[in-house]
Amino acid sequence: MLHPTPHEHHQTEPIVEIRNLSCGYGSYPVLSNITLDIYSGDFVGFLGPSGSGKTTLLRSILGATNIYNGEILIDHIPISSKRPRIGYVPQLQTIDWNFPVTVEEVVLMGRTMNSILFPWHRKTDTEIAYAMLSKLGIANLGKRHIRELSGGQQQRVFLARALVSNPNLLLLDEPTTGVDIKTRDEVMHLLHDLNHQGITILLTTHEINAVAAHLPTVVCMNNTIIAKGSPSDIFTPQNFLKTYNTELLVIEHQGMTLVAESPHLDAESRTERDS
Amino acid sequence: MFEPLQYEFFLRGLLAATLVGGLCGLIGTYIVLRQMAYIGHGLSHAIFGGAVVSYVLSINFFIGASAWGFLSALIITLTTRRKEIAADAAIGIVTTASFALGIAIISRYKTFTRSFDAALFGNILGVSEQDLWAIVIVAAISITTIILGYKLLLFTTFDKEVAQFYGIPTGWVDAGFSLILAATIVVSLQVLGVTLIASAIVIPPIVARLLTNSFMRMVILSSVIGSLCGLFGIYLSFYIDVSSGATIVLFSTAVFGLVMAYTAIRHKGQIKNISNFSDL
Repeated sequence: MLHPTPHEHHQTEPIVEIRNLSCGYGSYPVLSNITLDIYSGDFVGFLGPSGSGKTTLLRSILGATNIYNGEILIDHIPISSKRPRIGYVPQLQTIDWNFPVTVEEVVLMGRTMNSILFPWHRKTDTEIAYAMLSKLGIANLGKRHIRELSGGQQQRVFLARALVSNPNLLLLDEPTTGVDIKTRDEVMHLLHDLNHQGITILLTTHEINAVAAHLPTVVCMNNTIIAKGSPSDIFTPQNFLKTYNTELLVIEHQGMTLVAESPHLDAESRTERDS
Repeated sequence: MFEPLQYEFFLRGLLAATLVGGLCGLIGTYIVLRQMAYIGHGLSHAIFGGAVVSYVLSINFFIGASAWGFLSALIITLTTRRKEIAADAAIGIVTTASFALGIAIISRYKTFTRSFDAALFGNILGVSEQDLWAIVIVAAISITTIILGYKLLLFTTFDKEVAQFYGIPTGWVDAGFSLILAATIVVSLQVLGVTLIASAIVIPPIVARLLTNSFMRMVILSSVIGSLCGLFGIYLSFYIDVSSGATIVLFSTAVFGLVMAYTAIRHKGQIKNISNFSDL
């Protein structure tokens, strides 16, 4: 079991400030009226159905959407005026696993802008990359092709790429989707460790019990923010109804607030249950 | 073996084929990995349109055709930014329209139709000193650009969207790459022709990909394979008396077949070793 204890806040100033944000792609709006503060050391999960704008919110922070209204500030500076130092880990499903690239080459991509004037990576870049791989326990895999790794190792490679640029903020898009239970636990423990080392983490997830319930802060969203707080505060049938447009049964189990996922019932059983 | 080397035209052709082969192999690595293999075929047709327009407007062929090719590559890149339009569709629209424009001008001014035979089918043994210099200059610029922009090109090719999030100026990287791609195709036209150029861009990187899992090794291998196919292809064409462009393409295809067979056998052997190991 994970420990939903956030890294202690030493700063009272927010690292990310989202003010009345409405944004989308082209003329297609996705998010409206989002106001949210993220503080240094926070570990926040965005929860919501497909198409609810979780990924769009991360992409907005990265400056990759059309902002129709409002603004986003990172360290009090609008993202439109200065590119913030952010580590980003994409969904593993979007990676081209047949691309001829080794673990070392992928991690070094994260150092590209640190030595842009040099055609090749400097020795110090390689040392930093291997130090990060070592920290994540996969230094021995540096020369391996990315397809030859397990799901957990693959996630660590892309985490290492994000971390070698020394970001203040780490964004992860569904880091546990499509991986087995063991890998999911590995990844979540690793993220908690990184958070306890002071890195602010924002992630999106579909997994209420396995991921969101273990996080210190969760934001329920459906094109706008429905609720923000600790799982025990915001995991309520009312909030889930607004988020998923369906009723979910909320239970307490060993001190954790979880959702009871009921089996598929036929019409007769549903009537019996509802009565 | 050294007999053909006494002919100056053959020596020029040999140098041109070797350089163009290596250059196409180098550029082709990025093309194949971006899953835009069709762009070589399409852009060579588009540049044909540009060559015709250059002729009509009395502009230097290399300058006019390169500018036209660059513009076409840029329009393709910009079009594919619209998520609704896939790369192959964008290539199909832009390049065939450009080719059609060339055909339309030729049909209007039928008098110069024959001048474009070399551009269509390649005439390696008619490579002039000026053509050879153009190839050398484009090769030098392309190799320098790719070495200097190696890291940027790798990240952009692997995952353009995420590269942008990490601050890579992907728009400039794409524009620079389009420029050297267009210039490469223009100088390769004389050697291989519009109809055969695609194979020089696609086959060497595919062969290299079958042999390695490392990006840097793939870039180097693809360039070497492309050069060797050009060199041996033109030598072979002299002895079997077959069109040089066609011989280079057929030789490259044979190399692809052999490497494909070799890797299949090697793969089978590895599986056998694993099953023997599990029997223990």
